[in-house]
Amino acid sequence: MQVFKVIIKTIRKNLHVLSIYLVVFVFFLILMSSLQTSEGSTTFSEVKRSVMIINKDSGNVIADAFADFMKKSSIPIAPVETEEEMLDALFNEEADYILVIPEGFSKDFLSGSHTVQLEQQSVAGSRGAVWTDMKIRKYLDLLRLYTELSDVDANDTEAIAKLSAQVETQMNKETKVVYPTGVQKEKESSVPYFSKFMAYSLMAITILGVGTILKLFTGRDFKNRLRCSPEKTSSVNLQLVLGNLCFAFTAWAVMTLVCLSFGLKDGLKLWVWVLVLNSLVFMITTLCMSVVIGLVVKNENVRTFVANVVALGSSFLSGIFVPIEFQSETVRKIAGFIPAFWYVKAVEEAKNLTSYAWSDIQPIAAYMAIQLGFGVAFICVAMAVSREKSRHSI
Amino acid sequence: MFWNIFGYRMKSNVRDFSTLFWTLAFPLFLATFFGLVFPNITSSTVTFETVNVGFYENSAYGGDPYLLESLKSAKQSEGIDLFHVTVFESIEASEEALNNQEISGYAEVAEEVVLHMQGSGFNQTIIKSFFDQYAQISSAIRDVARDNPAALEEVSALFEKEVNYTTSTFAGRDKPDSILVYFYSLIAMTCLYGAFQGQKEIMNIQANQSQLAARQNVSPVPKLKLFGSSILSVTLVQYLSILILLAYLVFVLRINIGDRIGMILAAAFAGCCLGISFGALVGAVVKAGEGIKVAIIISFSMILSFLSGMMQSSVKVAIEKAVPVFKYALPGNLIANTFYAIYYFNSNERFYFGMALMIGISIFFYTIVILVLRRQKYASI
Repeated sequence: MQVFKVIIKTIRKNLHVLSIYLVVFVFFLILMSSLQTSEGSTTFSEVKRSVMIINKDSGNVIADAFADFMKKSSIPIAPVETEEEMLDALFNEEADYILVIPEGFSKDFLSGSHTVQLEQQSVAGSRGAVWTDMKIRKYLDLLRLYTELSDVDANDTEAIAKLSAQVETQMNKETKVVYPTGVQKEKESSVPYFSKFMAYSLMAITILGVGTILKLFTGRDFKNRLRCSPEKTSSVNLQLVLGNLCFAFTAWAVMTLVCLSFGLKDGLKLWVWVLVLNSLVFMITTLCMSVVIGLVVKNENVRTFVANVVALGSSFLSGIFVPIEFQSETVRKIAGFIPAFWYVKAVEEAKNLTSYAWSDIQPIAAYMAIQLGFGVAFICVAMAVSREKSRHSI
Repeated sequence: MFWNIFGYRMKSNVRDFSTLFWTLAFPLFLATFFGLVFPNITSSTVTFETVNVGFYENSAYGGDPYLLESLKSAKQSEGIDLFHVTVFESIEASEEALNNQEISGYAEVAEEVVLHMQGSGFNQTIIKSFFDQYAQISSAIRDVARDNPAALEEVSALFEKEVNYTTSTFAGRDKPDSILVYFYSLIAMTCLYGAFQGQKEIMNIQANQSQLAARQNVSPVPKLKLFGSSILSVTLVQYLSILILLAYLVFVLRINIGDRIGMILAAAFAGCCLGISFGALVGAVVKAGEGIKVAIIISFSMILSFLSGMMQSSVKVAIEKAVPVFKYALPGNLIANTFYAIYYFNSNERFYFGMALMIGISIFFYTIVILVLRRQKYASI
């Protein structure tokens, strides 16, 4: 097992470079799991928007009740003090809408003149702005209806409070919502998300690792030294395949374990194991792709460059970093030629599995088969390249 | 002699394709991917699009003549409808349209309105919000009519009068667009990749690191002159790379990174100096082979790019929220935030602060490099 030992030695020597991608992966998982807070439900849950409410007219019933309503019906964001912090919150999408209730708003509203307007900062025409504007209009239209038809005195706080309470009661009236049979909302698990990101790190590590091994074994001196050794060519090749496979499998196993341990809190359902199988298939395809890259690219710098371009490029185009449904038709068509695209499609399909009949699993199996098809194609290319190179060796 | 060495270093740096791969070709590749993927995100996730909704009225029910009319006439803003309404003749047809995702939901109108939805997305929320509002206002009108029947006549006049409750006070210089975070982090990454150049130049003036350096060290040229000319040439090459990237972003990909060209060029230069000085520091301080130095630079620039939001813009927000000092302490975030300040803020405070920090850190790194390199003698190489 001389050849196998050399492979292990080579990997160990380059472990520091390869581990960068593992560190990035673990870092990502830690960050993302700390960000995830959403809870599932079996009934309709409104998609709420984050609104920063700054009430400069506090102490007045109208402004206070309105601010309370907005806080209850949105995801309230803690108010900030400076204008720049408000702009930051808007840019970073921490707040979809910044609502300032100016001083004198309540008094002006009751007078019916509506000259003191609410101050808002949002991205015009955005979903957050449309949603929040609807909420504001909904509440204030109702309040206007009550105040203007009841001729309430602006100084009669008790009567104003009663009106606000009436508005509040009306606001609690909701339309009944039903889901088609079989549609049950569940808490979204983080495992599919992690599983998708894993593909990026797996691609980078495998291309770099396999490239390093192949660079050594396809080097002229090393190859000639092997040829004059008593080791049979078939044995050398077998050990080479085994070594690469062991390396890729170890990288996959470590990442899968990390991924599963982070997703453990969401429960390991049956479809999680489908994801694991899918990632194993993707690992095989990536390994085949890495062999082609390793055979073609000899320069170490260029190899790192190719590893990054392939890993990052595939990740962006195939929906690992950015969901595929947000991408243009052209990008989707291009992405069809990338194995990672089919990997992501299988992940998306698997996470929605509720039953495991063949008809449910069939699309996932088809996506895995496409990935393996890519693998076979890569092996064919690798064999052709290898054959061509052996003609010119020595 | 200074300009002589500078000229040769320039030639050498321009012909160093393996380094140019990283500092020029790689960012251009990534920019192309970003350009392909991101423009659509802004339109589909952020911008509101008219919601497709179905409407089925049970024939046994007398009906509400205003409901369908209100649904059709609801506006998101001037000239933009809130809903695109499809009226169905049967519940089966409505269900089929829902299953085929032609509509986000449909309303079944009988004695009461029942909404049929698939999922709880944004469109479904808007549909529900509209029907809730309709039900609430109808109920409020009944409420008022019960207490004061005479007031009922005023209701229609009241709703005819459109009141604008809000006014925009947005004080930013340009429209917020979180997608820009990806492009800022790309610029930051390119600046940080200047570290490869800085490391290489330091290696070329340390006699124990390369043959070229050994040759240069025996020549009667002061080390400071060697250092100065090398760093100047590499800064120029790296700055050109960044300018090519910026031009590609602005003119080819049509990314709006702001209109203050002078400030953008200055920030690019400061970022470039920061990256190169970091590489020079690694080259001078780390007593190891080139491989280890390159690995350190790759690791740092990769992790710093990740933290500045290159793979997920939310990572940058989360990290800066958790540790606010990282906004300026992490070089990637510092460069990205300086570009962000140019694009987004009318006031120049953040820009000047970012610039001062980038230049300050670069001077600090170069000072360490000079202190390490000066009077270095080699007894044996």
